[in-house]
Amino acid sequence: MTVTATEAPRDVASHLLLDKVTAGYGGPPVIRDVCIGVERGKIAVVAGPNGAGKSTLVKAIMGQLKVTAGSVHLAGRNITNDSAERIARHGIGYVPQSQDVFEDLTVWENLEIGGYLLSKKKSHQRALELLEIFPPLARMRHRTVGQLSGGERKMVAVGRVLMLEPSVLILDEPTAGLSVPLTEQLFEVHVRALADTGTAVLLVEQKATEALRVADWGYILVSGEVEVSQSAEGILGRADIGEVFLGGSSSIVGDDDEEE
Amino acid sequence: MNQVLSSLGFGIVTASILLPAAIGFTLQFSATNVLNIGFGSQMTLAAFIGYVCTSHGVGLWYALLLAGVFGGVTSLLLNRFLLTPFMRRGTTFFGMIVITIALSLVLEYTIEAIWGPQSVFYPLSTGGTVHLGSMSFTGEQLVIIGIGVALALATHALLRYTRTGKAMRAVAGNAPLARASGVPAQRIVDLAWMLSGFMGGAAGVMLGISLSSVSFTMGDTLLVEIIAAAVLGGVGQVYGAMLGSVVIGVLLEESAIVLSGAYAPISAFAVLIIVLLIRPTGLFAGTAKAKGVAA
Ligand SMILES: Nc1ncnc2c1ncn2[C@@H]1O[C@H](COP(=O)(O)OP(=O)(O)OP(=O)(O)O)[C@@H](O)[C@H]1O
Ligand SMILES: [Mg+2]
Repeated sequence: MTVTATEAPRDVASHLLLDKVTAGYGGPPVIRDVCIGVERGKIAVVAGPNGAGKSTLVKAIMGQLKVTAGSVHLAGRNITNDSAERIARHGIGYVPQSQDVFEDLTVWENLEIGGYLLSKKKSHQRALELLEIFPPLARMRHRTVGQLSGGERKMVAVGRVLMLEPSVLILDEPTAGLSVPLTEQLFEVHVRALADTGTAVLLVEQKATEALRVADWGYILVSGEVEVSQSAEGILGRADIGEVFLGGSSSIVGDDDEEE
Repeated sequence: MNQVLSSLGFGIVTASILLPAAIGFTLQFSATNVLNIGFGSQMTLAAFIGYVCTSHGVGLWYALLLAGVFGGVTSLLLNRFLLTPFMRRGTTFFGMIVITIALSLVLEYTIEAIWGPQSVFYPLSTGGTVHLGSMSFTGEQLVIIGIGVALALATHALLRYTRTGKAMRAVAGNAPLARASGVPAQRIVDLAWMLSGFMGGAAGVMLGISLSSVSFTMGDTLLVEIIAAAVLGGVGQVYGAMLGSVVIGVLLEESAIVLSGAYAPISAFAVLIIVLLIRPTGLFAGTAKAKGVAA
C-alpha cells in the first residue's frame, strides 16, 4: 500500500485539526504523520483494522500520550501536548474505548464528575437535561454504574461527556458490544443531533459502515498512517475498501472482547 | 461473660483507634495504588510530635490536632517528592512496597536516634472512670472513641456528599477518565494523601494516649492490625476499612482473654491469613480487583 494520505486539499476550516501528528508509547512511533480534521457541525469517521493506531491517535489528541512530531490545533489554537485537564477545559470531550465510566460511582455521580468544571447549580441543571435525553438513565440515577449493562454504561459514558457541552466530541469505538438497534440509535439520533447543534464529532469505528452512513468524511488508518481520506459517501461506494476495512454491516462478529 | 464484656470495652477503644488509621491507609492506597508500609512509622513520628507538644505545655487534645496536621503535611510531601517520582519512572507495585519498607526503617531509626529507645509518656489525667455495665472507660478513652467515630463519619460525609470527595472516588477508580473530565487529579491526590496523613497522625496520638506511652516501634504492631482491617474490608474500600477496623479491634481485645495480652497481636495475623485464604478480595471486593492487586 503506497497510496498515501489526503486526496482532498487539507481542510483549513477544521475546528479540530491534526497536522502530521506522530506519537507512540516511548518506543518506535505507533502513528506517523497523521493529518485529519473535523469541522463544527460535521462528523468524521476514523476506521481501520485492529492495532492500526486509532486509539493511539485519540489518546495523543487527549494529552494522554506525547505527540513527538506535528501539531494539534483547536479553533486555530495550538494545543499540542497540553495536559489532559486543559484539553477538557478547551472543550474536547472524550469517551474512551474501555473504562469509559466511573464504576464505583452512581449514574448521577458520574454525571456530576462530568460537570466538575461547571458551577454546582449549572451542573445540576445540565445533569437533569441529560437524564431527559437518556430517559433510561433517569430511572437508574442512584444505581452504581458497575452494576449496569454494557449499553446502559455507554449511555452513562456519553451522558458524562456531554455535561460540558464540548465543541469536539471524540468517541472511541462506542458501539463495541452494542446491539444493532442501539448502534443505529446512537448514531442516527444522538450523534446526528449533536452535529446539528454545531459539535464537531470524531468517531472511531473498526467496522465503520454504520458510522459512515451518518458521517460526512472518512479516514482509513492502516499501520499508523492515513491510507484514505475521502467523503463518507465516496468510501462507502468504493469496492476495494468495503469488505477489507469496513466489515459487514452485521455486528455478529462484533468485537465485544474490547469490553474491560 | 463479664470478662467478655469488659474486653468489649477495650475492643471499642482499639477499634476507634484503628478506624482513622485504616481509613488513612486505604485512602492512600486507593488514590495512588501504593501499599505504604511506612504508614505505621509515620504514625509513630506523629505520636512523638504530639509528645513534644505536650512536653511544651500544649494540651493533650491540641497536641493530637497538631500531630494530625504534621502527619498530613509530611504525608503530602512524602508522596509528592519521594513516591510520585518513583511512580513516574515506572517503578512496579512491589518496587514501591520495597521503597516504603525502606522509608519505614529510616523513620523508625531516626525516631530512635532523636528520642532514644525508651518509651516517652503523655501526661494523662488521673480522673475517674465511667462505668457502662461491666465495661469501664476513662475520660480519655471516651474522647478517643468520640474522635474515632467522628473521623469515620466525616470521611463518609466527605466522600458521599462533597464535590471534592466524589472527585477523590473518581480519581481512585479511573484517574485518566477523571482528568479527561477536567478533574485536577494531582491536586485531588495531594489532598487524599494529606487527609490520610492527618488520620494516621491523629491515630498515632490516640494510640499513645490509650497505651499512655509512645515508643519508636509502636507503629509496627499497629501496621499489622491496620493491614488486617484493610484487607478484611477489601483493600482500597474505605467503608470496608471501617468495618474491618471494628471487627479487628474487638477481636484483638477479646482474643486477649485467651491469649494473654502480649500475644494478642497474633490474632490479627491469624485473621489476615484466614481472610486471604477464604476471600482474598475482602468483604467489599471491587477496587482492589480492578487494580489487579488481589486475584
Ligand atoms: N499502552 C501501550 N503500550 C505500548 N504499545 C501499545 C499500548 N497500547 C497500544 N499499543 C500498541 O499500539 C498499536 C496500536 O494500538 P491501538 O490501541 O491504537 O489500536 P486500535 O487501532 O485502537 O485497535 P483496536 O481496533 O483493536 O482498538 C498496537 O500495535 C498496540 O500493540
Ligand atoms: Mg482502539
